[in-house]
Amino acid sequence: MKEGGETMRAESARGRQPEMASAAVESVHRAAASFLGNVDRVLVGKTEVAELVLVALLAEGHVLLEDVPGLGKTMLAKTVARSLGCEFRRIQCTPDLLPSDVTGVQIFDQQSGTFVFRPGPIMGNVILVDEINRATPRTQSALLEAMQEGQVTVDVETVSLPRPFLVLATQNPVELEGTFPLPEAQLDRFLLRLRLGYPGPQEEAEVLTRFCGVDPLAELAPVTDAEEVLALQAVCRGVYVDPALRDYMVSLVGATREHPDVRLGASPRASLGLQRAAQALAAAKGRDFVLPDDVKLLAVPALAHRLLVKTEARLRGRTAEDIIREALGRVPVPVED
Amino acid sequence: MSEGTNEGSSGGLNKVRAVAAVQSPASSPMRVPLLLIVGAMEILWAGVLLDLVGRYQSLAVPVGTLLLVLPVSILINVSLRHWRPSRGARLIPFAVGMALGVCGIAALWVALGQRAGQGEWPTILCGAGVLWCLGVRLGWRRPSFASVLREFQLGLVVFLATMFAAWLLQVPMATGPFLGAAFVVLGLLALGMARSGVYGFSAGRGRFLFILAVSVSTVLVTGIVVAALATPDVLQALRDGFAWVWRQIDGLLAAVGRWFPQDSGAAGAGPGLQAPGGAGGEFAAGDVLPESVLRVVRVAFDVFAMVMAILVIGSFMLRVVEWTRGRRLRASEAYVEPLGHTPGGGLWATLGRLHAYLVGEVRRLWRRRAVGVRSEAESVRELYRRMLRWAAKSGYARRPAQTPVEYARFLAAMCPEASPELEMITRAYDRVRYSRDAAGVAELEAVRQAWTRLRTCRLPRGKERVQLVAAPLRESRVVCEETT
Repeated sequence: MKEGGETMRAESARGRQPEMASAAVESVHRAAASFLGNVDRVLVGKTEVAELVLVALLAEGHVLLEDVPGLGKTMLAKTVARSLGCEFRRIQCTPDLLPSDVTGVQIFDQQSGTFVFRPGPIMGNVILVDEINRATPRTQSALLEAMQEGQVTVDVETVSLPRPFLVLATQNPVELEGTFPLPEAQLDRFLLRLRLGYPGPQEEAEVLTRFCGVDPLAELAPVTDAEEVLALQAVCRGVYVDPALRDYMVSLVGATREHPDVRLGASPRASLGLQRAAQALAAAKGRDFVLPDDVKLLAVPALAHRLLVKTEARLRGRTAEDIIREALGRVPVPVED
Repeated sequence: MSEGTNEGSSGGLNKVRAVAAVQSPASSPMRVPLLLIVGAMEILWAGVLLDLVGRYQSLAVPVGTLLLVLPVSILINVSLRHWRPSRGARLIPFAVGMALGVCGIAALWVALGQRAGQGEWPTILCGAGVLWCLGVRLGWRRPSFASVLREFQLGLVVFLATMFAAWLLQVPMATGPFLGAAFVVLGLLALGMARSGVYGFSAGRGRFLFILAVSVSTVLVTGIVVAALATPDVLQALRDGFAWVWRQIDGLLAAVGRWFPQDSGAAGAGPGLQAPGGAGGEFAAGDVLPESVLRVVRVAFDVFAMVMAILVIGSFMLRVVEWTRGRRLRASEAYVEPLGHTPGGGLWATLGRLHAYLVGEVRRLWRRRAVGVRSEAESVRELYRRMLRWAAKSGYARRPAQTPVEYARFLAAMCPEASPELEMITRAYDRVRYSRDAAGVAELEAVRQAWTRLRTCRLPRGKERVQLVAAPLRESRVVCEETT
């Protein structure tokens, strides 16, 4: 994987981004395989979710892991961080968490007689925001600027965050007491929303076996570094998207806005996110072009959390996922006549 | 092509009939040319019939006037077809509209040069009514391949019967051969188009002109071949054979004619009712037909005209009844008129199939040549299009929301032995369609070979299909849920 990163860095330096070199894409593919293999050493049966987390990382997006407790959300985040070899920080959200506890504060240095910025836990590469919906809206909004623009503003000082920057937020959708639902603006900042789901019986038995002795996470070695991740991200940005597929994505997002059961459809940021995620997925699979299958695979995790379903439709049991699937079954894919 | 197109193709004549009864959606781009073809046929056969009736009954109805007046009737009725009065009040507005239409056409007829003398108004109104009914008949007709086929058959039957009657009654029909040739060209065109839907033509530029060109060429080639074969000896043999047949018919008619009273008053109604080539006495090589025989012929022709009128009016009334019952079909609904239900349907369907085969073969050769000169990427796309048509022909058309990979998986579930070929063609197509890469010559050759192997595979049909289709759909739903 390291050699692949060297190749990509060299090609990036030569300015060959628009014209994708298949060797660079192959490097992304190899890196993705190494990453997924590493995650598989800790987590059982979560390859697809790990692949989507990797897609979010390559697409410079953020992930919201939403599921009931005990399914491995935090473990997944820690495994991803450990595999990437990047600086990992954790923010445990509670109602009394303050924005300054996230971004950092200016403190008075008595020796120099000046205010010095003391960075908060947001200043890392991979940030695990655990139980994000337990933080107050004020604290949640402190993450907005960081997630969208890769910087934080403390008092009058704006500080850039290190790159790559990946926020892995978790939330429990069941236990709602003492929580603050994420506002739409905050949800829109997440590229993907993923659910892990319960493991099957065989997978659960394998989990018991694997965690019987030494914690596999403790033995996990990183397979990449921050510099290489940046190079991988640059390669993914150059993956070709056919104009017809762009139209397809626009039609798909447009279908969510016109759906009678939707109060608020997906935003243009969603279209952009869907395209970047599709590019990243294509590169991770070793292709330098996007297929309609990439778009379809990513549509639900990339769009569903951005929809606001009407109350009457929700009472009928309609979910945002249903609406996206309906749109997927209705919007024509650009293929030959 | 709908998936159910080939359900009745178990073999033999049924297959032929099913093929000829292909229905295209009324909203297709072919609607306008189809409507024009149907209109042309309607005008032709109405012109032939009314010309003969006019000459025979001394109504002096010029065909030119009819050809001008009938399209007006058709246009009014096509417009009326889109006029949707509210439910419960359909019949009265329709009756008013019909009366206005008849009066309008009668006025137009008079304005175009017909002088309404004493006692001619009823004739003019009747003629206008017939024209209006014809217009209604076309106005309510859905422009589909099946309706064109049916029109062709009806028109051809009417044409042949009329020509026979004209020959029998010695009514000059100078335009007859031209009208007949036009019928044949239009009919072959329609048959070729109908068959082409099954044969797998995709809608594209030049399709209509291509089929038209092949149809006209077929007629010309057929004419040349017939002309070459029709030597004087052959023609003399045909004449002898016809004379023998005619003598048998003549004997039969004479036997029947003796049952009618000998009334010389009715004999002068027609313009010289003589058998071909002669005058006076019992028919034998140029003699005039006996009055009894002429009377039988006249009665038979009147019966024929009445039957045709009843058919037209019956069809029209059926439409009215359907309309008043609120059974208006949506534009997207198919209305298939099986070819086998019409006189000589099997024969015409076979001829149509033969013609369509010729059209398809020419088209195939043209495409094969075109594939050779295309770029590799274009050739791969063309091969993929062929694969789509191949599967659609067996009832497995791609759904619009299916990606190529999903479609290939679906087909592979139907025909597992074709899985490698499907995968190869789809992978190559994905690359040339969605990337900037061009396929190489080696890859194109591999795709060609895969297509050659694939086209020999047989996708399940009928009951096999019903059993197989449900399972993959269930599987794909599970996969979709797991993925999401």
